[in-house]
Amino acid sequence: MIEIKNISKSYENKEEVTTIFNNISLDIESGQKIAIIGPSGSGKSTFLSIVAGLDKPTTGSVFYDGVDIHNIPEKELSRFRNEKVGIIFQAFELVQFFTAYENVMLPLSIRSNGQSVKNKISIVDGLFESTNLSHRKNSLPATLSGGEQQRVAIARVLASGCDVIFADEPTGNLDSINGKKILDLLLSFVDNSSKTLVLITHDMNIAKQMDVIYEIKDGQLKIASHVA
Amino acid sequence: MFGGSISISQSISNYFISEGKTIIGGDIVLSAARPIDTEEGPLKDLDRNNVTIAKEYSVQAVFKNINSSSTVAASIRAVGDNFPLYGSVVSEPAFSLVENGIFAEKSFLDKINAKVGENVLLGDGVFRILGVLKKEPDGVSLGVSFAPQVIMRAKDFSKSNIDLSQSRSNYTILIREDVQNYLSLSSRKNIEAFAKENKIRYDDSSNGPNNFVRGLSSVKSFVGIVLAISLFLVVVNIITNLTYVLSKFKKTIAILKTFGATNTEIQKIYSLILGIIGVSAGALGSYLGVVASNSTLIFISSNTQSQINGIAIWPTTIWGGVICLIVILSSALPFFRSLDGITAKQLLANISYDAKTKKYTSFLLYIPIPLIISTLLYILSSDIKLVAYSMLGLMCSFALFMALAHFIVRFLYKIRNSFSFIIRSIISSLSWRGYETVIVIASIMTAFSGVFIISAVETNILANIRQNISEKAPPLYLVDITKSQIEDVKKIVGETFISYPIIRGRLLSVNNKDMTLSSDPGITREFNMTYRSTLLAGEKIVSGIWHSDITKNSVSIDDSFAEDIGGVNIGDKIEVFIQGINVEAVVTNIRSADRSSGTPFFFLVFSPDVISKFPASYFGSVDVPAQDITKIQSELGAKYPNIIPIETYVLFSTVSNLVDNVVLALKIIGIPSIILGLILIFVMTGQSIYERRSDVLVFRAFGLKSKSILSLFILEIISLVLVAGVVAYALSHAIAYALNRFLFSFGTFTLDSMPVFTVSGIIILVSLFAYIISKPLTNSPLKNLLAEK
Repeated sequence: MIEIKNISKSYENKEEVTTIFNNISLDIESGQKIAIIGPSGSGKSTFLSIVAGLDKPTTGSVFYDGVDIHNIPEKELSRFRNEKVGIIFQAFELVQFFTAYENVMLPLSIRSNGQSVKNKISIVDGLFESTNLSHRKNSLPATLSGGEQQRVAIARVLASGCDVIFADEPTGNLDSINGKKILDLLLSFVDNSSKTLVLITHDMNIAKQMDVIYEIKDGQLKIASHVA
Repeated sequence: MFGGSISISQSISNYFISEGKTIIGGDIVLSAARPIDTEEGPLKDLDRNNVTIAKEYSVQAVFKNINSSSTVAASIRAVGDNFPLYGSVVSEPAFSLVENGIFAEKSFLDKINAKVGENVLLGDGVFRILGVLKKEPDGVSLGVSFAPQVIMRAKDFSKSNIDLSQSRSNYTILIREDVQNYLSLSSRKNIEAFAKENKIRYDDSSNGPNNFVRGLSSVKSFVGIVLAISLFLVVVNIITNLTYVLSKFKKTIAILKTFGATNTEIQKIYSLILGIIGVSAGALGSYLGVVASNSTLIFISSNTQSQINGIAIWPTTIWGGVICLIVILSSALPFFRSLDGITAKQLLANISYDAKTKKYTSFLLYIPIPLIISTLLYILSSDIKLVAYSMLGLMCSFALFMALAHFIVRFLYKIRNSFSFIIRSIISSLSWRGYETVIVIASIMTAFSGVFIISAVETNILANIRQNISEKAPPLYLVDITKSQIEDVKKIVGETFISYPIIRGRLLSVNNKDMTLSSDPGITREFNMTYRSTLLAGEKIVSGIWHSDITKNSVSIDDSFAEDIGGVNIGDKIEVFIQGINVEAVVTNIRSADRSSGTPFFFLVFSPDVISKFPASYFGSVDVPAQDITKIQSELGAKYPNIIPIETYVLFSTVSNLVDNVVLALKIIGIPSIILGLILIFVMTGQSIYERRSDVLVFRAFGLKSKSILSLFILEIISLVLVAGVVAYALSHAIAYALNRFLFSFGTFTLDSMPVFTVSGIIILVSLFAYIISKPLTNSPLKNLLAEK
C-alpha cells in the first residue's frame, strides 16, 4: 500500500517561489489502477516522480508498506527503485546501445540478489514471447518502431518484478492504433499480475479504463471520477 | 605548431644559406684522409691573387700536464697561417693564436687539471693554454664528442714530433674567393669533379654544409611527419566535434528546418561560424607559434653565438589563418553533407546516429583532408618523396589501426555477455558508437605507436650495447698506435694487448660495377680496412676458404656487408682506393663476425700481401683490471702522445648520451600527437556523457547506483586508452624485436617500461577528467534529468 501524506512541491528562484502542488494526500491500495489527469504544467509528472522515488517533495512523505522512501539512504532508495517500482516513460527511454533483449534484462542485470542467470533468462524470454517481440530480441532501439519500443519498455518494467508500475503518458508518442494496442498489453499484464498501476494521461478514454481517476488542478488533487 | 615549425625550419635554413661560408669555413672546402696537393688539377690554376687558400689538418693526440701525471686525449685542429678564412675564434679570454699557444675546450682543462696560462706537454713540444675555446669560427657542434677540441698552429704541432703519416689524420683545404664571382659555376664544377675523381670530399658554401643540411632535412622531415599526424588528429577532432555540434544543436537545426530554412542556408550559418573560428584560431595559433619560435631562436642564437634570425610574424599569421580556414571547412564537409541526409523529424526524435546518418561517411568527402595535409607537409619539408611516403604510411597505418580497433571492438561485443553489467555496458556503448570509437582508438594508437616504437627500439639498442660491452668487451682500447710503437706498448700494457692494423680506403668497384655511384652513403664512405692471415675467435667462414699465409691477393668480406652491396660471390673481384692507389683483390671467403665480442670489426680483411705495404695505424685492445687503467693511460700519454686511450665505459656513456639525447628530442617532438589524441578522447567522452543523460536517468530509475554510473564513465574512457596503449605497446615491441633480430642481430630482447608509465599516467589523467565531467551528471538529482525530458 502506498500512503502519500501532505506532499507539496515548489521551486524557488531568486525572484519568486512557484508552487506546483500543495498538501496532497492520497492512499493507493495494492492492485489498484489509478489515472491522474490534468492540464499541461499542472504537475502530474512531478507528482509521479515524487511517488516513484525519482524526485523529493518539498514537504510531506511517501510511505511504501510503512517505509518513508524519501527518508532512506540513497543506496536503499536505488534498491527500492530496482525492486519495488517500474517506470514507463512517454519517450520510451530505451538505452540506445543495448539490444531490445538487454534493455528488458536491464533491471535484472542491475539487481544483485543472487537470482540465477538461467532464471533471469527465463523471465526475459517469457516476456518477449508475451509481447510478441521474440523476433526483435537482438535489434537495437533505433531500428524498432515506436510501438515496438514501448512494448520493450513495458517488458522491461515487468521483468523487474516490481509491485507498482508508473506510466507517464505511455501512449503519448504513438498513433491511436498503436496506442490502444500498448495500453491493452499493459492492462492485461497489470490485471493478470495484480500489480498497482499509476498512469498519467491526457486522454479521458484511457483514464476511464482505470479504477479511479484523479485530477491535479490549481495545485490540488481531487477525485475526478470512480470508474465502475 | 605549424607557425612554430615553419618559423624554426625556415630560419635555420636561411641561416645555413646566408652563413654557409662561415659554417663550412670557406667558399669551397676539400677534405681527405691524406694530404691534398694544391698544385694539382684545377687547384693549381686558381689565381692566388683572386683567392686565398688555407690548409689545416686534424688529428687526435694525448696532452700531459707538465707538473703532474694527468693526461687528456684531445682532438687537435692544426691550422695554417690564413686561418680562419671566415668568422673568428671565440675564446675566454679573447686572444689571438700565437706561437706555441693553444685554445682548448673547458673539458680539456678539467681533465688535465690545468688552468689558462699554464703549460702542457704534447710529445716533445710545450704549449701554453691561451684561453678556453668557446666557439670555432666554423663550428656548429652537435654537443657530442669523444675528445675535447684543441686549436693550434700547424707549424707548432710539428714540434711535438708526432708522425702524422702513422696517425688517423684528416686534411682540409679551404678556399676563399677574394674577388667576387671569381669562383664561377664552371670552376666550382671542375674542382668538384677533381675531388670526386680523387675521392676527396667536396663542400660548397652555396649548398651549405652537407652534413647539417642533411641533418636539418631529416629533422624537418621528422617534424613534418609529426605535424602530419597532428594535423590528421586535428581534423579527426574537428569532425568529432562537429558530430557533437550536430547532437547538441539538433533541436535548433530541426526547428530551423521546420520553419523553412533550407539545408544550404543552415550550411551557410555553420560555414560562417566555423570560418570565423578557423581563421581566428589559425591566425592566433600561428602568431603564438611564430612569436614563441622566434623567441626560442634568440635563445639558440645567444647560446650558439650564431646569428639566426626569426621569420616575419604577420605573413605567417595570415597564412596560418587561411590554412586553418581551409582545414576546418574541408573537415566540415561530412558534417554539411549530414545536414542533407537528416530530416527535422529525425533530429527531433533524438535520432542522430541511425544507419542512414552514418552513411554520410562517403569517402569522397574525406579526400580534401589528405590533400591539404600533404600540401602543408610539402611547404614544410619541400620534399615530395617524403610527403608521398609519409602520407601513404600515415593513411595505411591509420587504416590498419582502424581495422584493428574495429576488430577488437567487434570481438569484445560478441563476448560481452561474459562480463559484468558495467563492462558489458561499456562494450555495448563503444560498439554502438561505431566509427567514432574506432577513429578515436586508432588516433590515440597512432600517437602512442610513434613514441613507443622510438622508445622500445632505443631501450633495446642500449640494453644490447650495455650487455655486450659489459660482458665481453675489454675495458680499454688504444687508438692510433704506430707500427714502431707496438712492441713497446705491449711491454707497458701487458700480454693481453692485441693490435690490429687499420688502413683507410674507399670501395671502388665489385666485379667492375662502380660502387662510387651508389646513393647509399654507407657504401661510398671511407672504411677502416685491415689485413691478417689468422681468423679471430668468434669469426666464422660462411662460404669459401679463409686465406692463410700462402694465399695471395685475397680479401675476406663480411656477410652483412656483402648483402648491403648487392651480393658478392667467391671469386668476385673487389677494387678499393687506398691513399691514392687503386688496389684489387679476389674474394676468397665470406665471413661472419661476433659483433658483440668487443673486438674491432672490419668489413674487408685482406691477405697481408695486398695492403700491408701501405702505412697503417694500429688499433689495440687491452684486458687489464680497472685499477690499472689510469696508470697505463698516464704512462702511455707521457711516452706516446699520439696513442689515444679510450675507456670502454666512457665510450658507452658517450654513445648512450648521444642515443638518449636524440631519442629524447624525438619523443618530445612526438608529444603533440599524443596530446591531440588525448584531446580527441576528452571530446568524445564529453560528447558521450552529454548524449547519455537519458541513459543515466534510465539506469538510475531502474536502481543503478550513482557510483556505479560514475565508474562506468571512468572505465569507458580508460578502456579507450588501454586498448590503444596495449596495441601500441605490442606493436612497438614487435617492431623492436624484428629490428633486433633482422637488422641489428642483437641477442637480447628487452621490454620497455616507458610506455607502461606513459599509459598509466595518461589513464590517471583521463580518469580524473572523466570523474570531473561526469560527477555532476551522475550526482545530479533525477528531477533535473527528468526536467530535461
